[in-house]
Amino acid sequence: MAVNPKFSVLLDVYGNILTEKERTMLDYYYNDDLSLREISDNENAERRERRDAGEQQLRENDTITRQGVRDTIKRAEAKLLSMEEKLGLVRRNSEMLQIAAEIRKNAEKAAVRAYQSRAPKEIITAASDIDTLAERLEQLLQ
Amino acid sequence: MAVKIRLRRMGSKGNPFYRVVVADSRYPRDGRFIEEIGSYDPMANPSAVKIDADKAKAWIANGAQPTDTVKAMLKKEGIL
Repeated sequence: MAVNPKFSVLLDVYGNILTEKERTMLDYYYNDDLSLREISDNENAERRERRDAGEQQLRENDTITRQGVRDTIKRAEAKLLSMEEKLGLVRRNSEMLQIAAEIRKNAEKAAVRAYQSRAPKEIITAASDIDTLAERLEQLLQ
Repeated sequence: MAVKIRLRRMGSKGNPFYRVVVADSRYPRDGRFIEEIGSYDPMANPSAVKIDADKAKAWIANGAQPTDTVKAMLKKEGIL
């Protein structure tokens, strides 16, 4: 696998616990495939613009290095991992999705078999209802 | 003005999917890109990579820089 989507998904789920800066940088890094250097260059360009626009708090030498971006990203990753370790929402979600898919497969099979064997109509309806419910569950989880 | 070949994430929450795009390195955020040359689905099993080899080669010959992740994908697909 060329890209590890793990942090991208963790960011979807737990992104709100990060600071805005951490979230933005992780987003650049994992969702836009920017290098550390590009992130720091963009950030510094943006700060320069804000300074030129007259923002007082930003001083001339207030810049971020490539290493600074890396530290921020590593710290944010650690936060996301610790959240997942404690809450496990991503793991639970993916397990539930797998189970929902399995339920749908079996419900479809049952509906077809019931139809072929001329089973009572309630059995066919029940099987297709199960399929519909599992599909709704899938949509909720995604 | 550097032109890069990079991944850009699409897809819904918790369900990432990437486009391989050619984009100007200075405008990463506004969603503008020059051309889409492929896609990458990490959630498929095995992960599914689709890249237009001719376009990728043409862009690289013209000086476009693939990111490390895209470079690895191109190598795996036998394009580089």
